[in-house]
Amino acid sequence: MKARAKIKENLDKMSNIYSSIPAEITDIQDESPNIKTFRLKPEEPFKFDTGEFVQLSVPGLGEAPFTPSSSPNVEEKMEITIMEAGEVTGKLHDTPTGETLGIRGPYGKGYPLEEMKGRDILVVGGGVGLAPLRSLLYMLMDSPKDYGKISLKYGARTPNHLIYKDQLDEWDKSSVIDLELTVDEGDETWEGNVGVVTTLLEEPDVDTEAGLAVVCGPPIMMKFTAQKLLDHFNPEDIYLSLEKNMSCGFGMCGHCQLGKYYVCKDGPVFTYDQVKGIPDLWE
Amino acid sequence: MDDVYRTTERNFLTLLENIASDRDLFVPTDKQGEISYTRWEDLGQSSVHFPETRIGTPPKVFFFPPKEEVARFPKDRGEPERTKRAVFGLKACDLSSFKVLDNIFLDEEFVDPFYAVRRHDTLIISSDCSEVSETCFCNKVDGQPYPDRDFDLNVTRAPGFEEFIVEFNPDSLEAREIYENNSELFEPATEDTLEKRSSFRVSKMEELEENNSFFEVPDDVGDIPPDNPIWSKLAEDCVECGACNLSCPTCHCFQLYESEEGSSVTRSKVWDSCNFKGYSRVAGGANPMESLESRVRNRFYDKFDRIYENYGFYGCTGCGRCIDGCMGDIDMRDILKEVAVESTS
Repeated sequence: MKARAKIKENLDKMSNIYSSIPAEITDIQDESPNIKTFRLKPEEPFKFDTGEFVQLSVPGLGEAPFTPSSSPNVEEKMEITIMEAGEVTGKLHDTPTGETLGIRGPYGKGYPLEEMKGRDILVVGGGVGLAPLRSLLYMLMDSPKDYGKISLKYGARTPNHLIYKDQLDEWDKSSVIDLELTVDEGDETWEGNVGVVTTLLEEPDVDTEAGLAVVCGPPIMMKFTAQKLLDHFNPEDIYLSLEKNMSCGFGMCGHCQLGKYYVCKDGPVFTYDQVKGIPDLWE
Repeated sequence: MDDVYRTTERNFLTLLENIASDRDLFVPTDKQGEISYTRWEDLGQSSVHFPETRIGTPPKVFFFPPKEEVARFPKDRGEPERTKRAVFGLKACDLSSFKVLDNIFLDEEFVDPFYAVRRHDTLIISSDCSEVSETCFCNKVDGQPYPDRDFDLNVTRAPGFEEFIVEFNPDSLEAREIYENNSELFEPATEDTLEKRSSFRVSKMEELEENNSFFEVPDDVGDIPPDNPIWSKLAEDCVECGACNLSCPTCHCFQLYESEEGSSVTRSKVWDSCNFKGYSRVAGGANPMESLESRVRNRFYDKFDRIYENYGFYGCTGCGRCIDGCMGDIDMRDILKEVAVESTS
């Protein structure tokens, strides 16, 4: 009967957590052969913190979870970078500018900016995994004095698969961030490092004692990167972005269960320390 | 007011009738041996069945129906519809399922408005178990065969008793109002009545303890990894029908589906099952719980370990519906027994 009393208190303030608001696609940028960035204009102001995710729907087809790749500080230009991987993302790639999508959220626990204050930060991205990290990097670079050294190691399959190429050029020239790129397979124009991203992590160029690492990429990349980083960082200082099947986004539908956690609610950002030893962590 | 009263069968039925005049009342009926819930106004020639033990239908159907429309797009559907309802016949195990469901759907940060209004608007009239079924094991998961919380009204009707013993939950404003409007139907319980009720309850608990003395619930189900032979043996018997999930009063998994209706898109919340192969599949095809071993293990891990660790109580109520419903004759208790042996060896 306590449940009834609690509900009664909240009856008037309950909103429909299942409903999306319309968001128009105002621009589409090709990033790589299978990755595009969509700029969205939600019908109502849509606030989020960096690293939190949203459920984006192709009305009538269904939803998929994405972490915005833009800065939470720039509300009028929300961007979501999407790799073509399944039904919803496939349809999104065929959707032109001017169409309306549905959006709800934000959900989950994003990047712990407070924890990062005053510390060196090693950011490691793989493929489309740079998307949420770009949002984080925008935030860090908005107030560089608040943080220590910022180092970004980013790898993709080929030079053609690197995303945000213009942004990478800018960062390469910036004094605020140290950038190193790598590709699994080079081409005739590529003069940079060739090899998986862990080849850039033998001797991290940040203070690994007091600093922290943030990783996002495909599961296999995350697995090997986390293992490599454990040689240098404390397990509680390695932040991983995990992905699971998510339907609701707020801890009710059950699908994203990972050990004792729900990835949507307790994550999607976890420390290695939180998730080590979970049987199907990397599957 | 006192909390416990005596009444007769006839008066209790009058009480139900009075409740039905104000609320949409659902009662158990026996149709050729099949016990299910029927709306009071649709009873026709059928009579109210007083269930001896929990009935097959899990009570979640009243709060979290198998399929429901939860949103529309671009213009939303508006607030959930409100109906004052009452359900008679829930047992103590059914009431303990609310511990799990309330934690999921009435979270601090997110509240499911559809679940919330149904929970708020539904009066619960529970009853003691007058029989213990072969598959009942509530005593092993901190339960007992009589409701002691989370009901508005509870009725005890023991075989051989002339009287019905009705308890009104003092914390329920609705129960108080019902008593006040129907006080002429009740007499205060005597000490003898209470004595009879409590010795009846003890006898039922003893029966359960005897039936289930062959196993214990181990506290480390999660430590038995997916590649342990316990799970592969279990997977041999499982036919992946999902009956265990669908009949479970605490299983809350669902999938949101969208469909187009004219110019409007509707989003529906539909029961899902972790027993199904596609349950954890993500875009691109990766599927952490692709093997049946990992899926059958997940159910045990979730009920006896994950929920316990997160909330401090079991995710299983011991109702035994999954045992009754299993086409592969899987008995959860046998598996728990094997897990206990495995983890001590």
